[in-house]
Amino acid sequence: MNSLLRHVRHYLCSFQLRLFLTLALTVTVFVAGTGYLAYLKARQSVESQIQRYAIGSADQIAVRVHAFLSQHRHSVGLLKSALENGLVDASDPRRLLQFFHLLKQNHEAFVNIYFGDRNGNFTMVPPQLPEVHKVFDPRLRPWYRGACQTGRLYWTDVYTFASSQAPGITASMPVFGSGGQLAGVCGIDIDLSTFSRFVKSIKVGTHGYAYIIENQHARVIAHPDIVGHQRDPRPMDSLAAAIRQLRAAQQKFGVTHIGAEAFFTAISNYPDKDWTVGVTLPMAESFEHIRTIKRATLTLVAVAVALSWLSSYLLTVNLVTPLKRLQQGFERVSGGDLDHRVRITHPNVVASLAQDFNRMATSLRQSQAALEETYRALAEKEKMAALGMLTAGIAHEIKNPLGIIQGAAQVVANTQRPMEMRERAAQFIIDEVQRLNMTLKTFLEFARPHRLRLEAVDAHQLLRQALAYIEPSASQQKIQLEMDLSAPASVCRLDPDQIHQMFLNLLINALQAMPHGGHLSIATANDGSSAGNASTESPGGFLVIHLQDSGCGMTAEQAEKIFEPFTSFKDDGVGLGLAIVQRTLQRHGGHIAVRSRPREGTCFSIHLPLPPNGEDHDA
Amino acid sequence: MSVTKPYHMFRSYPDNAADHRVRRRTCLWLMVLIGWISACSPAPESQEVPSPTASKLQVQNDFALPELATAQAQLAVALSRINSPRQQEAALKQVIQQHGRQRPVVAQARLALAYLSLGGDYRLAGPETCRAAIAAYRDIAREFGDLAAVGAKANWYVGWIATDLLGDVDTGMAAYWRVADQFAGIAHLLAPTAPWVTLVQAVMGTGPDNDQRAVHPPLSDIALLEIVRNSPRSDERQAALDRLASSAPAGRVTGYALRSLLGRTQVPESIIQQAVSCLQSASLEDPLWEEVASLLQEHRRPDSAAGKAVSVKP
Repeated sequence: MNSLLRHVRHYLCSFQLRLFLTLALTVTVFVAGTGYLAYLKARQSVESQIQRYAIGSADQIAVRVHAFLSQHRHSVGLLKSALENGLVDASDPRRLLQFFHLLKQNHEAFVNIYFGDRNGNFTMVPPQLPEVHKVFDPRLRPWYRGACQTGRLYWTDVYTFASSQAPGITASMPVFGSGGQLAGVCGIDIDLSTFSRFVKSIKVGTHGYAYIIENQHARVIAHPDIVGHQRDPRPMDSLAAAIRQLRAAQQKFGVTHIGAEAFFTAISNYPDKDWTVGVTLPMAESFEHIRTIKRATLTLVAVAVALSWLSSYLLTVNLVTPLKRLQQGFERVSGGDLDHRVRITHPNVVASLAQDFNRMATSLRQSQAALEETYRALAEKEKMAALGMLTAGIAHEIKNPLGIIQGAAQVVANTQRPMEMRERAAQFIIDEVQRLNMTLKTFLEFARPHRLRLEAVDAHQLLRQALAYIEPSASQQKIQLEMDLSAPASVCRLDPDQIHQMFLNLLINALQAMPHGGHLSIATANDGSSAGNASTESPGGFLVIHLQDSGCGMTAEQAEKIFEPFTSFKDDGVGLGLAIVQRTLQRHGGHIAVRSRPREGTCFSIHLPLPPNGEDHDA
Repeated sequence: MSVTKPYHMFRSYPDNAADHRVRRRTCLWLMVLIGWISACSPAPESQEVPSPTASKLQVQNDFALPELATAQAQLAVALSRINSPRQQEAALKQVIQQHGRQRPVVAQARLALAYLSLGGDYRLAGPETCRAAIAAYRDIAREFGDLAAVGAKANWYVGWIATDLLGDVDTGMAAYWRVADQFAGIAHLLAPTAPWVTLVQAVMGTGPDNDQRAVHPPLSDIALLEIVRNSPRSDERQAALDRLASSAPAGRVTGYALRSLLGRTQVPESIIQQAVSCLQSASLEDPLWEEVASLLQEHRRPDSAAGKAVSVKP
């Protein structure tokens, strides 16, 4: 669980996630914003287009309606001319009837064609119902009165036709006799059903429609519902009210609500009558385009966002994964695996880095091989130099005793010499052989040290034992011993024999440095720092033993060389004692330091590693 | 030695062991994406436009009418919306067939069929056609005589066709007298109002020019008027005028009757007296009564015998 959480935390803080989020969110915001702006622009464009379309349609329909009514106007004019010029005799009902029938055959849209004379006679095609015709007086009709009053073409308001009971409008013109007196009025009817059928035949969008409003009474005179079987007049009332409002606001385009549905409404003034042509388009139909745009925009944005996230992810992976592989390569190489190589083909910048990395690893591998060869040659040289020095030391140490032994042997072999002399010479031989034996033992000790047998040992105890050995000699040389073994922790993991021998060597050296007496102090302390010198460290700190004598001391140059093998400032010394001491301490994880001045004495500080707390205190 | 590599769905290096698996997942992702895009794409718009009417009556092979809720509405549409006489005849027969039990509707359809039998323009109908129409109207009068409005109209049409189209005044007068005697005061039977007319009237409102139905006189009055106009017998004319003047002295039908009688050369004094009486309550704004007054003035002139005997109010 903790591992999982660590991985999640690591991933959340990773460069990969940040790069991915930066790319993905930037593209998302950009794409979404662009999509929204495009949608707004498209919507505005569609609304503007709808407005232009609706207003343009209303204008076009007004023109078409005007053209439709023009045929009525022109035909009435033709009728009037025919009657006035005697082409048709108005006093002959049969001729008049034939002429009307011919006119009607050619004009299906003419509902009724008629002529009423000033005496109340009335001729119409198609014929009136007889029961109506019997009591019909054209002079009372609005078309007759209007034409008489104006003296020219007259368009009635909407009124109910006497014969069919249908509402409609009439185009009428007065007919004058040759003397200029009124002979009658001719007219052509258009019922609202026919008018509406014509308006309905004009396509306005898919579900839009056109209609005509009479402004004076604000009533609909042509509407698709009139053609159908609709009985509810409320929609037409709503349209009339909406157009009143538009006209009052002097606008040509607006939104109308009929019931729960909303419509775009555009109006146009009819050319020569007090009418308004309206066009109504359901908003739902119009907004279908906008909804299509919205859906398309949303889909495109979603696809773009998805693709951007996908491409961001791929880009991130393509960039980060090779880098991680490069990082793993660095870890492997830094861990010592110089034969490791990374193989990255793209992206090219990382591939170039990988090639550089591989070249670096190859170079490191070659450098390491060269260095190893150099080290091996150097070690060989050092070994040969050490061997030479050792050989020279041995030769030097053996040469003198051998000379003494040769001289003494010659004395012993000479029988003419006194017996006493020959016995003394024999004793010299024995002494020098013993000395040679001792020297060789020391060489062997230095050249081939014993294996360490570590155990928990109280260093104070070893010190006391070593002091006990030298106490008689020190007393004889009048050397005052002072011991302060006050370090709280003194148990170390040591080879007791070798450490005991080391203490003895150091104490004997101190006694030899004070042949005429002096003062030797031994003190211990604990050093809590884990770092010793450059090559040693101890987590549990060190036990520090100070051996301070008041002997002849050394110069700085002598102190620097004192731990080198075969370096001795005594006449009878081999020069290996302190070298063995230093190596013994190094093998135990400790070290030794010396501080000395001529005629003031020397102080050796021995650092023995202490075990960490809680370990091996039972000794 | 195993090297742990981070898991990634897509890898850029082709030498990876999991490349095949990655490619399969990539394809799967792309298919899901394409499917999602397809699901989100707008569906093609339907080209179907719903029919404005739920059902239609197939009257003829090439002619259908909307099926409306009531027989009256169905009849109204058949009477008002069809321009072709052939199609209108078929529609009326369809109404009779469909609503045969509703006698008023069937009677009106029969009346309309009888009228259609006169052709597109009755003024051009031949004698045989007229006689056939008379027979049809007589059948209707016989069959639906219990429906006063139907009986009045059928008899009136018999009188009209006989008098105006065939010149058979005797038959015509007899029919008119039947109307006047048996169906006096019966309201004029008008065709039922078509739905669209109702709609327009609702939008237009009512007014003096728009309410023609209200001023339609009873057929019995028009029958009396036709007797006055066409009867060769003066007593018959006088009787008809008396009945008209007694019921509506200032009515337009009475005015038409007076104008017709005053237009004759020989006008009895009784008629002049009646005209004077009617003019006292009639409106002289009406050109009809103006004409009546004018004709009366003609008869008042010194050279006119009748003119000496009467005085007419302006």
